[in-house]
Amino acid sequence: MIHVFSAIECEAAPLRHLVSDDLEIIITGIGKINAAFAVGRTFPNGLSRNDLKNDVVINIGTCGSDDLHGLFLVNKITDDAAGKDYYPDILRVTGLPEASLITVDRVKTDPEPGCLYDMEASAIYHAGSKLISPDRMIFLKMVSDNGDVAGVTEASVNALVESYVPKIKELITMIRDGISPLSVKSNEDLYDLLKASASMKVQIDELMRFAESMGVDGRKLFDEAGASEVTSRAGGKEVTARVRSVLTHLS
Amino acid sequence: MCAAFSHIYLESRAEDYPETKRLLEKFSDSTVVSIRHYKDVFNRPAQDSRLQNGSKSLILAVNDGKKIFDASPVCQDFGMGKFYYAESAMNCVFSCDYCFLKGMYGTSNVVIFVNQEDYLKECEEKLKEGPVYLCASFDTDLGALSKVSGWMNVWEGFASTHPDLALELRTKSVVDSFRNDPNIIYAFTLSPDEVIDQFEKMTPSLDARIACVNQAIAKGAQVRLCFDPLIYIKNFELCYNRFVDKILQSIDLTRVRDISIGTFRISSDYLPNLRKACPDSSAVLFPFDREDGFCVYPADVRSRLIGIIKNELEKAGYGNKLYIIP
Repeated sequence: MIHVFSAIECEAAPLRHLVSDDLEIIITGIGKINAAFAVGRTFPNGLSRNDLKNDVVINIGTCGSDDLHGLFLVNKITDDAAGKDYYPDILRVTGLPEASLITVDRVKTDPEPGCLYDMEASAIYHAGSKLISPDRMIFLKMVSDNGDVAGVTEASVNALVESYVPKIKELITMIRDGISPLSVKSNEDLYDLLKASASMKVQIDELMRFAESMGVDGRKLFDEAGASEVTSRAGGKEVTARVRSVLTHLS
Repeated sequence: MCAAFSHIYLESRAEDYPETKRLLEKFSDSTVVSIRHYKDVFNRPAQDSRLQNGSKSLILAVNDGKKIFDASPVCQDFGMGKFYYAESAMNCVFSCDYCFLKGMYGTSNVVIFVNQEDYLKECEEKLKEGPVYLCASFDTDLGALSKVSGWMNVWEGFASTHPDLALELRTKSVVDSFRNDPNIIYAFTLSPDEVIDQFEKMTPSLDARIACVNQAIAKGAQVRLCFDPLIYIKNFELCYNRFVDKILQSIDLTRVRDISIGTFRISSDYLPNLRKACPDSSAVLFPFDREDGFCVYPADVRSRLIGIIKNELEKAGYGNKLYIIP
């Protein structure tokens, strides 16, 4: 699932047509507390990294800068108040220019040159990083102003985001292509046949994975070792030991 | 081979070191990101080291902590006294499936420490206590990094003026220059091509490594051959028999200082990370025995693997050069 976080609706409106079964847009509201709350609400308690190993967080929004213009992929986020840095992993060749971003609590009216300024990114990274790996947190920022926000309107933000939709779509396609869920084969039937305990299940999985990596039909080995004739857990252990012995003596 | 790095993460305090300046010039196409401390990038939780492998980043840092460490008891000390390793860099530009670095670090990014003088000072302190045997290519492959970093030359230069230091530079790489000082040992890890192709990604072929060994021998350098780790593969007897025959035919072992032999072994703590990094690799999926906190092959498999190499080398008259990790 791709989770797109934007602070306000006018940043997200031009992207609404991208919403699908595997992409949602979440409006966080402005500022770090709202942003962290939105991420927390999206990934509720009880989920693990493993549950979310195919999920991607994208923060798309506008930002300020003294001298930079355009759409940027952020390679460093500094939380201005906490003095803490975060580094999303940039592992895809996107062709987008990169920049570092400072997340501030109030609009920065006197931005330093060479930097982007926003009000949510550090919180989204911090909250997201509890469950999402750094290569699957992507921050896209479009420069809307130079610290003077008087001229920034819903319409101007909307038009700015709209102008980058093709680039954003390209990136999302790239991300979708990169999501390849690992297929985990179930050995449930073997567990049943071998009357496996929890530790035996681990051993069976290990042997089946090793067999596959060696180009050997693990299931056939279990069958040949007498899996279907097992009547007790002890018998299941013996079969597992026989398979292990075969697999560790293939030379 | 000269690695390219998409990004260079640069500690602010590392900026003024000559090694930093040289590396930034060398990789002028890389995107440079300023960082406070290398651990902020290197130690991030839940990095995808598999994905990072295709786009490694370089981290340039100052090591203000310990730089030279006591070596692990599972490493061969060749009976050479106080045995240490130097952490000049962390991680490797190669990507061997079974490498303990994949288990130890949750990232494929490479750290190079640029405060080289501080390392040499710490080594000098150790030398005051007596002769030192130092592996300088331990948490990395300095030979492979030699196309990038000046570390290998730094250690070679230091060793040539400190005869009490026995310096081991272990590599799978093809190094292009050697010194013939008696206390600098070039240790080459050699594996059959079947193992190289399957598990030692991005490393030179066996032929290329043999050519490099012969070049070192011709220059009068101290050469150590490491048949370590021996890896369990299908038909390993046939494969390792052919391999040792090839070594005997291609390298004049009378001119090799010593030979180490060992089977694959790894700390039990590192195996989960290793399996996560290489989820389809038989090298790490093997159903290992657990012994004293280490994952090892069953005793009979170890004995057979070691026996193939040991017996052939003993038959050829090189038994006195062998160091075996059982």
